[in-house]
Amino acid sequence: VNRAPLIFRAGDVVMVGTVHVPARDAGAQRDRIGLLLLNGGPVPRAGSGDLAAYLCDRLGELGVMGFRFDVQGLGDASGPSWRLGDEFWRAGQRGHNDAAIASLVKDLCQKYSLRGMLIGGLCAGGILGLRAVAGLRSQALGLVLLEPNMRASEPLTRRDRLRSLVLRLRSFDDVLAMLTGKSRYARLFKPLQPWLTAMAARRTGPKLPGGVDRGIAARWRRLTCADVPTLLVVAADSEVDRYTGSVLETFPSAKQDGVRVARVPDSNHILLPENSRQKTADALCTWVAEIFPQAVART
Amino acid sequence: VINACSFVDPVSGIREEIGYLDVGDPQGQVYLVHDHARGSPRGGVVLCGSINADREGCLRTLVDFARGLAAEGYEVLRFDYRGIGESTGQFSDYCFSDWRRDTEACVAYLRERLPGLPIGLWGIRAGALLASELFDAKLADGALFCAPLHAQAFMQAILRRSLVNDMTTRPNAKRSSRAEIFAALESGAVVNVDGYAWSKRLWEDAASHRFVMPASDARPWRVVDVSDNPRTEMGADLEAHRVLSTVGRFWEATPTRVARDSTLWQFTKDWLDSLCSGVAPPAVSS
Repeated sequence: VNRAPLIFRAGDVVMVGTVHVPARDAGAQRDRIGLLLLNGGPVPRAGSGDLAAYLCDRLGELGVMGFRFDVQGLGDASGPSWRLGDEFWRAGQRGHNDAAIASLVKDLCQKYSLRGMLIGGLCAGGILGLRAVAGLRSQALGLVLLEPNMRASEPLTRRDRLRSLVLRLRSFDDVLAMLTGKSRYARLFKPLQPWLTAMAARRTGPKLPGGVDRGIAARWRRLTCADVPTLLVVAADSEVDRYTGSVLETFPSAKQDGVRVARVPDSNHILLPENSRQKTADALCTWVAEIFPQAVART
Repeated sequence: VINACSFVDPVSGIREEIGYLDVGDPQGQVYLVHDHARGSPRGGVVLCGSINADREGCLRTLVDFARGLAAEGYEVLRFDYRGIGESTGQFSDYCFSDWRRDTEACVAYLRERLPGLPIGLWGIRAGALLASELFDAKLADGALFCAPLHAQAFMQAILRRSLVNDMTTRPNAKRSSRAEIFAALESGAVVNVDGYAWSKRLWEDAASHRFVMPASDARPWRVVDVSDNPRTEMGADLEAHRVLSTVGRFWEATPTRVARDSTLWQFTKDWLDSLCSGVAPPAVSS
């Protein structure tokens, strides 16, 4: 697998990335797909312990192109550096990188004649990908969520709190959940609560675990319902394992098969201890070969 | 340089050229980023980053420093060692001697492009160690060593930090002690440390790479000590060249980066100004 640097300009943003070009072509042109991995938090695009680079190399052995990009202010990309990782994370949750990533995917698909792209990354990288997929249509072929951080950030300012409230009221289901939940507004609707609660439960299924970013969970659910497949890799019995499991339970049961869950034993959030790296790569390669058999080079 | 591409950073206005340097190894190439000086170059500097998990903690500081120094009129080169980060090759195939050759190749690359101009080496941690060897071999005209240490001490420090992280994130996992891990390395086992496969070759090669203290050298050089870096480890009187920075062990905290209003930036700029102007750097006051 050969590597080459890439530059992508989206307005004032210059993203810097790397393409892993497979040594052997993966068959028919119309079936070519790629994998785009984004920064796992403030870590450079190679990933902690070069995990992202390793995954792209491994997928490249199957004939699938891998791309890794630094988003604005991280790694080799342009822009002022983030002073704190948390600032980057909050901005990312608010869609700071969405448009640039969506443009990037469209550009890469066109430039490399790809039918579409699998998008994701470790921790925050998965969430950036999940958000950006909403701005894409047929080019988003699947999600690769590695230990995705679906926790909502604590609101810091009045504006954050207002935004958090608005986010909670974005769908009818969420309005119902709020009216029947612990909200201060709930008491106004006390007489209607039993009926509303029953209705909300029918519509939304089990309640989301506390602290989960409801907007992200809703996006993931919508994408899964729209038959966008997901590979979810988590450290077995970790916090992420527990709450992503709870989020998954809120998906319609007929659609839950669209999410392949790989639980890596004896691992941690960065999927590096013991043989975690190899197991993560094995899960990725197996999933890609099963879901996109035409895109994988025949041995 | 293979597969080269370039862009102008919209913030600094600096042109950056990115590509891979062929160092005569069919398995591995060196990822290189060249920040071109604003205006006529006054000189050049090669930024030698660190290895293992230190790399990701240092990277954005190096990026910011490279762009800042280029804006001050210096040609700046930064790179990844073979087997690490963006460079190609398997980590387990390389050792400090190979990474020294990578550093030499980068110095040669810059020297070829800046005939007659001074070239400095700026190294941090393991990068400072390699920079000291090249400085000792008279391959550079000046050097700044940030928190240098000997190669085996570096590996021990990395492993200690890795084990502490592991104890925190996997409290119930069965794990080996530091002594057991080094014993395993010596017996030929490959050990996973933060995702990097350490080999017996790496550990044994590390024994022959020690920070080389420049002795009565007229070329400008500095050792930047962070608050808890043990200067006694260097085993020589550093006072005339040692500066104390308040930046702390920033490479251990991934999200942070050292700002250009820090003491480390100021020392870097003073040292490079003196290297390229021939005027002695400001007196050291620790």
